[in-house]
Amino acid sequence: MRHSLILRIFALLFAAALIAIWQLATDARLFSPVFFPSPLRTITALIDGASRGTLWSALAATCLRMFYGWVLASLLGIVLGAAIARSGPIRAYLEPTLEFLRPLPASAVIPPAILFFGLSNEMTVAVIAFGAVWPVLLGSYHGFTNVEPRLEEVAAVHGMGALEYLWKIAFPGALPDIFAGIRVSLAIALILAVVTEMQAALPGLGFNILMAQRMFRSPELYAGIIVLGGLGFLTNQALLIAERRLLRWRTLTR
Amino acid sequence: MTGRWRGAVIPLLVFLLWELGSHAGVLPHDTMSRPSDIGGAGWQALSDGSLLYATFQTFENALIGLVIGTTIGILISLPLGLSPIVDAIVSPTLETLRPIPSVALIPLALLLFGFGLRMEVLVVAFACVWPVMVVSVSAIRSIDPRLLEVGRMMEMPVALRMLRIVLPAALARIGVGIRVAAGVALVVAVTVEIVLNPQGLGYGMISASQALHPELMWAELIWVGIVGWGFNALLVAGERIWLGRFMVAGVA
Amino acid sequence: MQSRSDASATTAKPPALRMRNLSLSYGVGPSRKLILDAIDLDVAEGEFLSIIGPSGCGKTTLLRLLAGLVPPSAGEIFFHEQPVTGPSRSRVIVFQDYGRALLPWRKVWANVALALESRGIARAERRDRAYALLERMGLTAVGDYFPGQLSGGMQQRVQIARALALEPQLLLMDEPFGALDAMTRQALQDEIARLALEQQITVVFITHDLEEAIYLGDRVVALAANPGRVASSSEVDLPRPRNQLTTREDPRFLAHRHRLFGLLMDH
Ligand SMILES: Nc1ncnc2c1ncn2[C@@H]1O[C@H](COP(=O)(O)OP(=O)(O)OP(=O)(O)O)[C@@H](O)[C@H]1O
Ligand SMILES: [Mg+2]
Repeated sequence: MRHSLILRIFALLFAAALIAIWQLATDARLFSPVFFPSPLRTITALIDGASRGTLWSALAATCLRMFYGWVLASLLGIVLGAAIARSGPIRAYLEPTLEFLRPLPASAVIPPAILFFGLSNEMTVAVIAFGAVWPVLLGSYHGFTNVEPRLEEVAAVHGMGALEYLWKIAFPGALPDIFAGIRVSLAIALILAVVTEMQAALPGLGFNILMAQRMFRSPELYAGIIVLGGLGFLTNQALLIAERRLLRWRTLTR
Repeated sequence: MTGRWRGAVIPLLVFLLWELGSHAGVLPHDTMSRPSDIGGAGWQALSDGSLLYATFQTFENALIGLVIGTTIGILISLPLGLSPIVDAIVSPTLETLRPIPSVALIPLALLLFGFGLRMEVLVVAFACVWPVMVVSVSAIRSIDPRLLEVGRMMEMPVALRMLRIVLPAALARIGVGIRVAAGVALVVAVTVEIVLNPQGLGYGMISASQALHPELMWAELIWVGIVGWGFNALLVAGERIWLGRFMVAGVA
Repeated sequence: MQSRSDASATTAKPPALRMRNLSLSYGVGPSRKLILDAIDLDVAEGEFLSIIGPSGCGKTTLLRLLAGLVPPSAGEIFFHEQPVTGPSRSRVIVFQDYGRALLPWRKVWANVALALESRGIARAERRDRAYALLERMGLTAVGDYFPGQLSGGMQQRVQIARALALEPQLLLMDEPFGALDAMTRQALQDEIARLALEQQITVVFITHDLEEAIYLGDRVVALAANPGRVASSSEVDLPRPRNQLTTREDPRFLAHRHRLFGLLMDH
């Protein structure tokens, strides 16, 4: 265990050394501070944004956008995946269309979405939902197709109806696959939240960093990128924790 | 194979209702152009070469970014995969960079390079590093240690050992990582063009809709769909052939 | 104490379970294979029927037919004079592969309580009743565990508890005690025998273990393989309740064992 502690300290030292080199290089004017502001100036911009509250409101706007789109995508993905997995006719009618839509770069639907919804929050949510639905859909489809056949028989012996079967047997069994998809979807949702904000000039972190670039305020730009990375990291961790709790039965074995 | 026609029902129905709806004046034709107009605009853009040129630009950017990202990803993965100590020290730093959404780098890339190929390539490359790196690290980690000892026993220099032993042994799975990254590359390239880089397919769509040519925008959207679908199918087929080779050789 | 099959014989009630010319084939075309060939069997109400036979002779298949999980290729099954067309809560099967028959995401007690759901019983009472059944199976200590944390034998006992929670009229058990150690196995044999007798449950019990078949059964049916068919059927005229020591030393028990052993060897 001591061994791993030492390694962890070295890992911290490594990160610190990188930052120190960056700081020293900017102090020595090795490259232009317009492009590479020093870590100190970046941190200052970060603290400044946090204390003036501009950072928080942008963060909240981006989070909300991402959250709505992601929830919509997840619900849609689970239901569609289950429907395609459990119903032959639905699969026959829908699958080819979905197979065509799936590789479509999600941002390509931004122009038509703007035509329909204008430069609005609804537009961003629609685009995010479209782009983030696929991993959940695939996970759900996979999970709902691979139900343990013995459990289908258990359901039959217990006289379960179709809905009861879906809720008590198929859905819990599909949950691990669904979760895997949901986490990928979350990352996509963040990307599309940033993209749509930039495209539609809607308030949020994505729009902020674009404005920072336009005004050549590079410390703010870097600070914004750091916050976006932090947001991606924290939301993923939160989902991992939720997953570990909900799927506790998978890790608890003899 | 029977009943495959059912897959065509929904798309055909959508287009039919769309056409009829716009003739009847139910659909606003400044947004929902008639399918017949869309077809015309698409044919026009295809025959005057503008669509093909935009496609070429997008793929050029995506592929250059893919090559750079893949190279960096593999180079990083070598020390990480071979040495658990390096992995423990460097990985935490990489893991804090990884969640940064690639598109957050768009303004930075613009700041560094201005509009054009280089800024787009930077963003694409950043996005491609991660899938390649993750797969490659785990592939290298699972190489039989006996194989690595052979190299050391023959007193090969480090670079040669990497080239002759490590990479070939991990190649099958690295190919899978590259296929994932290739899909990512196209998506990111189109995204950068939609957001601000004035070239390629993404820009074509945005400029068509801003110039109030919705029929051209729809045509380009459908074209992007076809191209994306075809590229994806190509990648899947490529992966199958790639892995098939290794199956025969008994490596994978 | 008298044997229960005698009791049902004297009252001359119609059999609880009646199989007529029951056949099943798998596959199509040239690869079609006859698994069970024209089985004719009656099981009296409250009877404990043991079935033995070589591996692969179709025992599990027969049980799945009785549960209504697969339709026969030919012939009919009647349960209390009603044709069997599908699964039912009154005809419960305890699967051979217990590891796959439990809901891995539900705790042990909730797996048992599954049988009590959608019957308008409050959750607290479902829990209590599940625990009461777990106690009979000697599993109260692991009620809050997940199935994956249990040994094979424990998982099997959870499955039995869940089957009993359905309060079935017919209990179909497929080598239920195969994964248990000798002590637990004997305890559960007695528990099942007692329950069946108490609640007048008709039991069809598959086993590889000749002694177990005799010890538990009112009757032992031996199947022959390729295709599966009834090779012999013999009444076990041993008094109940039976006792692990005295019954197994009873000369009649030993005589049954001898005869059936020879019979199985012939095939
Ligand atoms: N779904 C199926 N499709 C085709 N053949 C099957 C199927 N299920 C069982 N069989 C075949 O039916 C025969 C009987 O199988 P069954 O599982 O009923 O045997 P068993 O008597 O229960 O054997 P054991 O004592 O090993 O459990 C076997 O030859 C098996 O291969
Ligand atoms: Mg069997």
